[in-house]
Amino acid sequence: MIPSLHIEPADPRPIWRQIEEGIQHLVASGAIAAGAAVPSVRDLARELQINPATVSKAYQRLTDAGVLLVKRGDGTYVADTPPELPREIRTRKLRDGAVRYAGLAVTLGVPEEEAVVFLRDAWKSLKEEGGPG
Amino acid sequence: MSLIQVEGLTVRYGRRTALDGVSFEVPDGGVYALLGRNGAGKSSLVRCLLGEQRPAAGRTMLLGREAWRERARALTEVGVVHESPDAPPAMTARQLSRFCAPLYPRWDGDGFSARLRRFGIPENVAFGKLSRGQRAQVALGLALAPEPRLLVLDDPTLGLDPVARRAVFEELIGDLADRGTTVFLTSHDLGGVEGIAGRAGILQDGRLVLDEEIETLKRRFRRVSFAPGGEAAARLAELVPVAVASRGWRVEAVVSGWDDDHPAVPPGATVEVSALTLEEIFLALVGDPQ
Amino acid sequence: MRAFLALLRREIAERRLLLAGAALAGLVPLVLPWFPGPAGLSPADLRGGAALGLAAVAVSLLALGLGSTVLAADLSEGRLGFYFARPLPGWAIWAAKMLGALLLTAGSGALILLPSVLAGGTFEVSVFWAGSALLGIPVLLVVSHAVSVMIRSRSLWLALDVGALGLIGGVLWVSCRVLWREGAQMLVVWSGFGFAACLLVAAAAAGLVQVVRGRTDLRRGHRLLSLTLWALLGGMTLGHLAFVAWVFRVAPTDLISLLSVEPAPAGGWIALQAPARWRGGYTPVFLFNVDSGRFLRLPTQGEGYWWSFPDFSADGRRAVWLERLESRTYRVLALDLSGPEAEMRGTGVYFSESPSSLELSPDGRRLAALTGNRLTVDDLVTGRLLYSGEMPGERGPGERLLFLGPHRLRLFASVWTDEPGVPNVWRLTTLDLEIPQRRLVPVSRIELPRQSGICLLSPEGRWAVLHEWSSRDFQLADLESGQAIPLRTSSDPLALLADGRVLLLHREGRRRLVGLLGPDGAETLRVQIPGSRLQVGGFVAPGQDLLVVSTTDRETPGDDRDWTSWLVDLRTGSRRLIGRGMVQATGFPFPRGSLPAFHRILLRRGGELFDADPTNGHLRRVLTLKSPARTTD
Repeated sequence: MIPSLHIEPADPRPIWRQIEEGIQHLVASGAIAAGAAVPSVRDLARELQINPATVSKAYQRLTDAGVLLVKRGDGTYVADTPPELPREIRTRKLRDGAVRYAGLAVTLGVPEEEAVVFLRDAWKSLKEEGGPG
Repeated sequence: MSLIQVEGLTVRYGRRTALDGVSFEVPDGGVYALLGRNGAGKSSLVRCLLGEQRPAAGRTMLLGREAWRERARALTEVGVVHESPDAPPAMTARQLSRFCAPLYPRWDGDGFSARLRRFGIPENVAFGKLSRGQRAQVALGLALAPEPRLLVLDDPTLGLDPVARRAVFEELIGDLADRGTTVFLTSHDLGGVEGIAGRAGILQDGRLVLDEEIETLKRRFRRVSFAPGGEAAARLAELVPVAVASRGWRVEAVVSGWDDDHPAVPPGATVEVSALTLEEIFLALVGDPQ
Repeated sequence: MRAFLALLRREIAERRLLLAGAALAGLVPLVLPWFPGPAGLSPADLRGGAALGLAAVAVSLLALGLGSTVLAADLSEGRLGFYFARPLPGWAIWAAKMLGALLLTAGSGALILLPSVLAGGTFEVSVFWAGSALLGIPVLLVVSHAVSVMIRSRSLWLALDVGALGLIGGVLWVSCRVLWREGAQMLVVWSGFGFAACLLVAAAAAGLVQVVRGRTDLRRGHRLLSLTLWALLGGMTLGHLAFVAWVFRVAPTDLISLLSVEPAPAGGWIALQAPARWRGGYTPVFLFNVDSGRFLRLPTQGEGYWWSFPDFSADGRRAVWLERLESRTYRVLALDLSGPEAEMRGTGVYFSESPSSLELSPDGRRLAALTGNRLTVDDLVTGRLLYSGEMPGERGPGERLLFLGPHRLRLFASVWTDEPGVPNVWRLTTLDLEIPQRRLVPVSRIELPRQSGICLLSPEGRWAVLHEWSSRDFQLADLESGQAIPLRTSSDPLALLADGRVLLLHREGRRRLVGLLGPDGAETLRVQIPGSRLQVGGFVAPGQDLLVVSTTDRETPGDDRDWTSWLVDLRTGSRRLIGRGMVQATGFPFPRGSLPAFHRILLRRGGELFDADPTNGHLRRVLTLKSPARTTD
């Protein structure tokens, strides 16, 4: 189905939020192409074993945000030009990741400058593998 | 309108009080999960809900009708799956469908047959000879066929393997998606129920100790792990701890008063805050004290 | 209703194998005659009997088996929840399962019988048994359901059930025993049917309440079942007791037709026996005072008791009655008729079997009885046994005891031998018992080489008329001398007067005449009484001059309204009409052997009893019964 869209029960965010942000992330990262079909509310709910009303709420918000498009009688699709990931989500995700990385470095006893070097190297290798850039 | 209304329900067996003044409601379109340990009173409540048992005090209303007095009329719009499906073992699925059809105002016999075909359940084998998973599907099918406004499911996945369990929930979710049925269910499978239910009630020793949206529940419960002594320990009481345990050189507390916007204890290197699954919340509330 | 029908259809479809089995079983009686076996039974009889027997067994087993499982097994094994979780009303669940079981049971029975019926088997079943079977099947069903619930619930209520059953069963048994002993056997049969019907209703109602209000809770269901069942059956028992009490609160005005009436020789008391209204053949015996209207119902005399009326003393102030007790023992009751109310008291005298002859002394103080071979004389006032001894010789039906004064008892016996190879002899023996001396004195012995016959005795025990059946000869015997002289007459002797004259009934075509015959064979009187049939009532005391008779013109008289009664003066030969109706009739002159003398004439007509004044013929109504439909006499 949708690649790597999981519902984490021990996540403090409500499920509809997890779906909303998850789809946004997938769209932003290009895992789902623009204009591609997304599963129906029914199918996604069955797949994830969650209440369809929850999926419906997430889809509604995504449609309002312009990420998804509902073609009457045809299904739901990713918008042809989906907006970028909202700023606050991007910020929060980056900050969460940064805190985790920094915490890891501190626990291992690695100084800040060395940790930054590792960071730059990782960026470089990703770019070489041909990510979105 | 609430499709289920339970008001002051009290049930006694001799001197033992199985339910003590339980009250709650299930609104139209909601999915309500009733949780509780064995012996907490769930079966008594379900029996009173279905008009099988008369409470010592209080009453249960199904679709606006009193369950004990107007049981048969109320049940025309209700689909029921009992704990351990109990259809007459000699009847086949087709005979069960033919038997139940005239009892209800609507009956989707084709949908029932289609569902059985989808799961490869033979229509002409006696109910008693089917596997547990097959029986659960037939029972759910019989409950869904009258296109009820309300589903009452008493531990519908009891004793089923993970594949069968998933199949049951898929069918349920499909029905929710198609018709927006109101659902009341009890379950021990908190993980499976967590995503589907909108509201949860926890029954402990005959009393409803919790009746809340799952979303808000998960928002205010956290597990906080910190070193004993120190600032975190001092501010613990503000967070309304529910269970506190000492884990070697750290203290772990499950708190019920967490506010994400104004965290009383800011997370840091010495304090770990993690969210909880529904099962973990349940264990903290009604599990054995440690 | 739809739910009920759906469930009923399902119940029967689920057990259709039973019906198939019954159809197969029905073939067995068909083929039975082809198997070797005891001869003597026609194929039709064999088929009919076998089919009936098979059907009876199958139906009983099915009723028990289905009744105890269709609901109770599902309930105790937690399978009723399926039905209660559907929109099925509680009554529909109970009714469909019970009715389904009933249809299966009855249907199986019918299927077993059908092939034999079609093949022409003989079925001789009385209405009683057919009705019992039809009633019994549903009773068995609901009762086995109730019992099954009681046992499966394993609760303490079972103790209550057992206790209540014992109590109610005991009460009903006792009350039915009382009814049976008092001769109201039909009432016991009716009561039995009534109990069965009430049991059906009570158990069905109890089962219904149990299912509708107890639902899936077996214990609670048992409690509701027991309370309903025993409350209803308890009410039924109380109703039955009230009915029995009402039965025995019968008065002469509750009687519907008079069976027999007999006045005491003197005084205002009469004995009467008649069936009572709405009491199912209960036929009580009353002592009734025609002047004051007071009455006393006499206790049961049991069955097969010859003397259906009390023995009155000559002055009508005392009487004796035998009450049948439990163990085939008879208790002698003395009745005191001297006051306005009749009073009954025990005398302390008991008989261990029914006496074959009983005689009260004219003053009412002594009682002589022949029980088997034992002759006893009791003093009823003191309760002392005055004499008890074994009588020699054989006993026969023609015995007579007669008090000749307070200290002498005459025993007259008429016996005939009827054995192959032994010459037939008719033996008449007369013995006197001297009571104070306890000595038996043989008086005479007459042996006639004849077959057998009947005797008429004169009131004072001196003469006897012997009538031999086959030759139709009459003889007049002097019992003190033992001489017998032939009587030449072709008519029937009716009675023997004290002076040896014989009262005869002449039949001339359809005419009836009463005549008197002297010992010399000369007729001194002939009086024609209008009518083609005649019955003699008795003499009007004092003396033996006035005779009351009743005649009818009809070949088959309907009841006593078809008779007319007459007073015949044997001195002058004149007759006078008393009125329409029948006088007290002895009909059958034995064992008295002589016509009694009454001081009052009782005339019965329709449902009314009159006291007729012999001097002016004036009729006074003394009793009105509930007017019956015309019954055959």
